[in-house]
Amino acid sequence: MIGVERTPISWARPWRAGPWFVVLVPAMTALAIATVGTALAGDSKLMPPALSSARYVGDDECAACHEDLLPAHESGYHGGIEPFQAPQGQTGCEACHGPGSAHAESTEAGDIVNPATANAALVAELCLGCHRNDGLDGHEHSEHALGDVSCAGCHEVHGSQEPGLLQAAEPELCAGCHQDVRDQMFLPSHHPVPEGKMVCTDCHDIHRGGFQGQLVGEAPNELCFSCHANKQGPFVYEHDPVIEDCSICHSAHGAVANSLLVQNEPFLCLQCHQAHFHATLQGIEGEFESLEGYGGVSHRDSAKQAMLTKCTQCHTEVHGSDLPSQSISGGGGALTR
Amino acid sequence: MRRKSTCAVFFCGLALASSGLVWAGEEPEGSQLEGTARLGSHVSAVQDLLGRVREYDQGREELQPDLMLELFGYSGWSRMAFEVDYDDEDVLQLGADVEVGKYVDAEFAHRSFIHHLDHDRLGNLNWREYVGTGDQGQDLPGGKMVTHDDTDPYGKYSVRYSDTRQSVEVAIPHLPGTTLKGSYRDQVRSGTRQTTGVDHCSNCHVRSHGAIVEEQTRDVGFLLATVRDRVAVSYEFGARDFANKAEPTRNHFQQARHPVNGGSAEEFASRLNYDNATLVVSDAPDVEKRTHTVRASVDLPKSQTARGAFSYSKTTNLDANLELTANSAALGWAAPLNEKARVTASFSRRQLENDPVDIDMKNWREGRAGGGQDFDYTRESVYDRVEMTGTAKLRYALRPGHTLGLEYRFRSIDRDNLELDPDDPTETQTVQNRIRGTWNGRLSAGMRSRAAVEYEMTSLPFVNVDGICEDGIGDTIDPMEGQPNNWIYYFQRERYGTGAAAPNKALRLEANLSRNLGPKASGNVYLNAASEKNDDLNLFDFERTTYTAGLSAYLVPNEKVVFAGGGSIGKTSSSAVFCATVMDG
Repeated sequence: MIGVERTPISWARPWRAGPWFVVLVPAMTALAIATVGTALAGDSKLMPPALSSARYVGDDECAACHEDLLPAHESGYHGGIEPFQAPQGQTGCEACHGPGSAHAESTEAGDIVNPATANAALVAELCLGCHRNDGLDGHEHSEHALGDVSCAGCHEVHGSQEPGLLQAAEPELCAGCHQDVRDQMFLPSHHPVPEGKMVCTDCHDIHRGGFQGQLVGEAPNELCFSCHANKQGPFVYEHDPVIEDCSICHSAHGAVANSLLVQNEPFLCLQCHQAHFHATLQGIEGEFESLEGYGGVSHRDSAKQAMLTKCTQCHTEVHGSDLPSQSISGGGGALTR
Repeated sequence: MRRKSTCAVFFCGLALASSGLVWAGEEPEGSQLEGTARLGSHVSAVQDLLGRVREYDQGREELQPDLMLELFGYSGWSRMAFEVDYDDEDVLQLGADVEVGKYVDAEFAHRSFIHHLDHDRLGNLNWREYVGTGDQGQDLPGGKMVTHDDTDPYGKYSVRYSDTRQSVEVAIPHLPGTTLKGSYRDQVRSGTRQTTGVDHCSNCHVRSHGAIVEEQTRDVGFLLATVRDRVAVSYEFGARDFANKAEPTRNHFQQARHPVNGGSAEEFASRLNYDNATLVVSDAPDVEKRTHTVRASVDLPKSQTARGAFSYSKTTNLDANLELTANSAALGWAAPLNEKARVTASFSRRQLENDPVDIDMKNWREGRAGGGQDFDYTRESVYDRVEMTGTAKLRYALRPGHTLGLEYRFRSIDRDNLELDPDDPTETQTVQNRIRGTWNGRLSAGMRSRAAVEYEMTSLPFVNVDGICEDGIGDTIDPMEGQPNNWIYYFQRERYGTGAAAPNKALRLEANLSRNLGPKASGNVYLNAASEKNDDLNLFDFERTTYTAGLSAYLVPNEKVVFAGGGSIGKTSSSAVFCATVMDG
């Protein structure tokens, strides 16, 4: 029934040569960026001026005044950082708060960095010094960074019982600002977030932002396929909007219609397709039987009920299929099998 | 066998840690171990008929045990945390995180739950055509009809979803900031679901089956990352294998025959790819995907940062031998202009190529008068495309706690094989321009608000060209030169209307206000609105208007008790043309 026409490898399309070639080129580019970046690297533009001449004084100096913060800090993740784990080489309080000598002498709040109240961009700069490779490269482009949401807005850096030092568990933490999304999760059709089977970060890469937006993966559809791999394809018979964007038909946060559809069948389908002509026909009033022995009770509007209730009763494979449908006139692509 | 392999990565990490290779330096003294246990039971009074209510609930009406255990401890440089949340054998959450010797971090997480699925009774599929009234006033039935049967009428469908993730991250000794990470994810969907199949042209008969679901997706990942001074570089490899292990469901496609006289098999069989055969239906193919990603980012002078990423992936449909390749590249730059203003710019490009497929069809009405036309064709993929996205964002701090944002986004999707303009078949490119303004403000202590307005213009958005509304019978439709009824079956090729669910103009508004009502209470109110329109269609204007608003409040008297209340209201209205063809014109 089907055959595949292979495109020969061409140096006009070098990515056809295989993954090693296409990995090598960007790797060389990355190396070049790294070399130039190291040569150009300079001081922070966001650090308070008072810190430019300050020096590191060590945790004992901090503990002299902030003894109450030490227990939680020392038993927490950041309290146990060793020098080899810190790319910048600095550990302890001053790894995040900056050199403390000026503050220790003046006790002025402005003479040291306080991530809880500081400019979000400065806080990010401090945290990314160590965490840039923890899925945080590109944080500056994320909606949170641009919305002035600081790292300390979600994380309790001194210590937390929640994973990732979060201030609260998901999804409650996210719902604090995104109440509208939380409400959608309570619509009749939803992902099992309210039931505690999923969390927001299963889909949202809130730090990095992926290639487009804050969704995990190369593109929104790739994100969906990470769990719904049976709809991934590629298929012989395609349904165009599935390739285009899952959100044309589905509302991921929640919907009134089943299967997270943005609109009930058949109205969703009829926005791009027309109805079968049978839908305009009348039905008999009474019982009937087919030649094969199947039967039922028909009414005047039964044709509309049959043809305009749920398209997917017959077109079951709306996400795509390798199996040809029965009708020749539809090119086998009616997605009924 | 699977249970053994799913823990392999996690235990490899522990073995590596315990081998002594990762211990270095002087280990600090001190240890602590604490745990929490909770025993209880739960019961559900949800009836079977309320399927949507108990969609993710076991719904068992007998008493069930409930067990939760948490264990946390550290000794020297080593830390561990374990978590067990057990409802029953199908609903379970496990978690483990073990850090040993500062060099190894092994994580394990497992969750499983039941997803109850609907059972469509197909009760709407009863119809026989009315063609007039007889002498006695009775209805005269026609030949067209719709019937159904359910081969599994008492079937209760559900799928157990199981997701196991584990990873081991190793900090390479003597290379500060350099880590190796291996990960493994195993998803299994097993259970039964409903599948329906229609055997066409022997009347419309829909048959329902209970189908076995046995699907497994395995993701293996490898990451090498290093941070040195102000530069971070990483390489990541991902391998995904999706296997459909279920015995395929089969449907019998009855012998095609005329619905009225029943005898003339050729009349309908000559328009079908197959009939009188039992064939596999609804069978998802096995798929493998391999992904290579390189990322680099660098801190530049004056708090600027630049990032770049490149990804290559190949996805293969193993059943049909189809290959889809994707190349994605992204560049980004961010910089503070001064203490109040910050600017970012990014660009990404993504190219997809999918194999074309030669479709070998039976000839149209072979052996019949006017028939014999060759319907073979090549399916060119809609995947084939180049997508480009560019964004520029500016954020300006009006004063502490108050920021204004302005964003511009350009997006282009140039498809090789999807027509978008009925007047120009060569036009395949969608171009979208969007501008968005945002405001974030801390109005007072504990009161925060957000507002955004967005306007989007799209040239040639995704549509279905010639997807709806057929032309009336005319002299132009006569593909078989006067053969009886020939035009009926070509009629659908004379559609002239463009259907759409995507706007070419959109205005969207968002507003949110939240207030802490003391240290243990908060309230939130929001309003979202959107007006979307496509007035570039040849038959009608597509319009969609959406309003949603909500109000909620939380009271947390202590960490064990949370009171939450709220309500939301939403209204969506859309208008589009409804096209139904008329038999025989």
